Amino acid sequence: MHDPAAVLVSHSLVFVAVFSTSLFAFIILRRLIIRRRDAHFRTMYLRIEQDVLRAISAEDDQTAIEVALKYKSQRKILTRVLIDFLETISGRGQDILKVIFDYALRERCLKDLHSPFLARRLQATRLAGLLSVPPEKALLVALLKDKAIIRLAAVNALVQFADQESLALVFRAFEQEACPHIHTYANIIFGAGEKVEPFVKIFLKKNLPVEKLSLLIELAGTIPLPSLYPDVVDYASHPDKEVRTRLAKALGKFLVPKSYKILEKMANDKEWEVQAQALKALGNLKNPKALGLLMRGLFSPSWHIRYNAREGLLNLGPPGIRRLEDVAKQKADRFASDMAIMALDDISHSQVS
Amino acid sequence: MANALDFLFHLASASILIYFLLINSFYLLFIVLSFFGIFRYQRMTSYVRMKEIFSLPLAKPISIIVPAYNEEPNILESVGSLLALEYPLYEVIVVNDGSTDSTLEKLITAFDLKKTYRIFRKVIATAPVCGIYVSPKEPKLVVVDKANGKKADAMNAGLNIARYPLFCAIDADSILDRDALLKVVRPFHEDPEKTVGVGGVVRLSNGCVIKGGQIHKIGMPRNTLARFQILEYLRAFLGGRMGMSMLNCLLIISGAFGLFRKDIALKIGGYRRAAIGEDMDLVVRLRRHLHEQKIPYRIAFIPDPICWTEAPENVRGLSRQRNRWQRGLVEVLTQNLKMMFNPRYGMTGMLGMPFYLIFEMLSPLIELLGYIMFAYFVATGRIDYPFAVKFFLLAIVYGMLLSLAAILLEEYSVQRYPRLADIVVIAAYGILENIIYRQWLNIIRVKAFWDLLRGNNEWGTMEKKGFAQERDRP
Repeated sequence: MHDPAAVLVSHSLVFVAVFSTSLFAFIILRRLIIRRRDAHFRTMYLRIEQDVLRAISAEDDQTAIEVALKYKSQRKILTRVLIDFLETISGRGQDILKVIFDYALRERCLKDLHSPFLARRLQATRLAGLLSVPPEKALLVALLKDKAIIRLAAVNALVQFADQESLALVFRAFEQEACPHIHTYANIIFGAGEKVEPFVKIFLKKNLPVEKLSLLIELAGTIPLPSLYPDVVDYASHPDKEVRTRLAKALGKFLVPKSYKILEKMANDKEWEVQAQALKALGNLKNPKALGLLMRGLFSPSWHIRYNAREGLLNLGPPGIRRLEDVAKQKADRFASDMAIMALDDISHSQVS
Repeated sequence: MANALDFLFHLASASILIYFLLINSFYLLFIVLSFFGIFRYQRMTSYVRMKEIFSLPLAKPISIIVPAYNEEPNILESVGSLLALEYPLYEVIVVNDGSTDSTLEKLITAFDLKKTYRIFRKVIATAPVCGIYVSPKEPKLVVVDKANGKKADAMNAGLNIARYPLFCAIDADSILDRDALLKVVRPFHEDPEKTVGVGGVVRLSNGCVIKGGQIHKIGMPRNTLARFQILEYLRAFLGGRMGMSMLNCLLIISGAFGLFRKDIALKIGGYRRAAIGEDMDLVVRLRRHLHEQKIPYRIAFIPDPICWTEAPENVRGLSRQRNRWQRGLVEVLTQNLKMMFNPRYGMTGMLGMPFYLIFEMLSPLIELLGYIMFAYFVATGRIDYPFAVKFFLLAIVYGMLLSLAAILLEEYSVQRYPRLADIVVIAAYGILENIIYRQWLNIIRVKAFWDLLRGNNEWGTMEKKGFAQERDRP
């Protein structure tokens, strides 16, 4: 009778050897096939690229339709060409690309929006966002109930339309979205620019969680939307320090002169984060009245406050720089003089460069 | 007595067989998971324009920290490559860790560095900082000159000086693909609250032609040791780490290329100064801290962003490196024994830590035991030669299968080796590594236990050949 271990090892050896040999053969064959496929891709890509370029130059929908119909069967290559062109052209040229998309790829793209496979749905959503036209909006809205990654792609696609209806949908999705993804929303919404102002205004009045509220305030500052000053200013006394910190940051970008009073108050906030942002914002306002507060900040025990006070003084220009020179000379507070010396040192280097 | 000894040897033989079966099953499982991971990643990132990150208003700025000790041959090429990366806002902090060669002087001359009076918060204690330099030519570059304190200490000095919320740890002998930061930062934008660390693939630059701080042509090194290591890196990164990441138990993000959240790293005290394997130590301590604080988190591995690093090409350099890796592994695992098989630490405690203990840390000892048993059976004339030969062949062929699977993963993910001949060469080295190379590495790893017991915690140095030399190759 055979030893079972020996039998197991023998059979395993044969199986693994056959499997390994097949795998090796598969790798080599696959490489050869891919090489041929790549060569075909390159040739076709160049051919399609030339024809698309011809359609763009002609600025004629008929030529675009001809190109679309000619390469309808080369879906992947045509998609690649269109996406690559999108990165480099704008205006009427983009409309021609959309016509080609409409006649060659749209049908399949719409079908894929309902695919049971997540990756296919995702690709179709992104494509719709890049190349699609308003009729797809309804389909994209339906995707706002899909998985998180699809929802974000759909929001991104809707923002491309940038009309009031699409933006309303995007903001509604933002309201309903779980917090981990809201930063991504903010990044996407930013793309729509000042068009989002009425929505930010409405949503600032809603009872949003702190994370969303502070993000909206920051977004208002980043775009920036200074007309929202009256809508955000009341949050200076919000109980959450995150909201107050972002407000100080936004006010530093709005550059509304009357925000000085609010920022002056915030520079005396009980939280160092709020104080630090308020000092930086005061510097951005370039109001010489802030000199006293900024000087006090430079002597703060908190590194962050000293650092932002330094930034504020630098932003104030010559009066601020003169104060920094005075502080650099004094010996009573080494931390303040170090910070001032560093600021002056940085200016001298930037002047060299 | 003889019967008892015999029984013990047979028991040990059976145990080794089971161990062999288990270790290879785990490796196979990780490779299968990696296939799923890579396919999913590719499909999920299709039609995504990485450069869109440029326009993001909330794109997180990154501080790249480059510890440099005697990196004279590579430093300019490496820093030049980092300064040319595609990313909206980042700084490059080179920490000259008391180099005894002219690393600092080369940087000062090349970038016209000026000593500056920069103040920083010393959140983590480090060896004294002798000077901070900035370049009027390259505003993104900051060079910190400090007394020698080893890599972890240099990283901590960089962390103290870093201005941005994310930091990227890079070795000074590494080169990043131009869009690597754009790719590796994506998980931080997708889930900024949970993501605390992301690792990317590290590949060997040996044999590649480098121009303008970028890999210009990928090629196979002529050096035999480097060729063995190419395969090892493929298996480790595309097979092991990707698979472990899928199971949320990745314990290593290579020190050569990893992106982390600075606030959390500072909260755990940065890198442990005495750590031998500072990269694994950081990740394990991060996981431990976050589990203990019940903070939901994610540490991810992305198969796409590529970092190129120089592998040792001589026996001395390689043996020192592997000895240090093994000592680092033993140290991290023994210092965190509390996490082992502890459900409180989730998959890290229940799978990651035990896997590294049983199949990584102990494997050289078990392999050595196997060789001793083999010698015993030969000496006592009780060896079943046909069985022994078949078992040896099975071990080789199984190893080969795993290597081929790793090559296939490479083919599916990035396909960086353009020549078919390169693939054949790598596969051939998958067979050759079983003869002498594998046994030699095993001896080095066993010796690492002995060195650790003797209290040797040296870092060991590697002779740098320099990227520039590759350029001259025909």
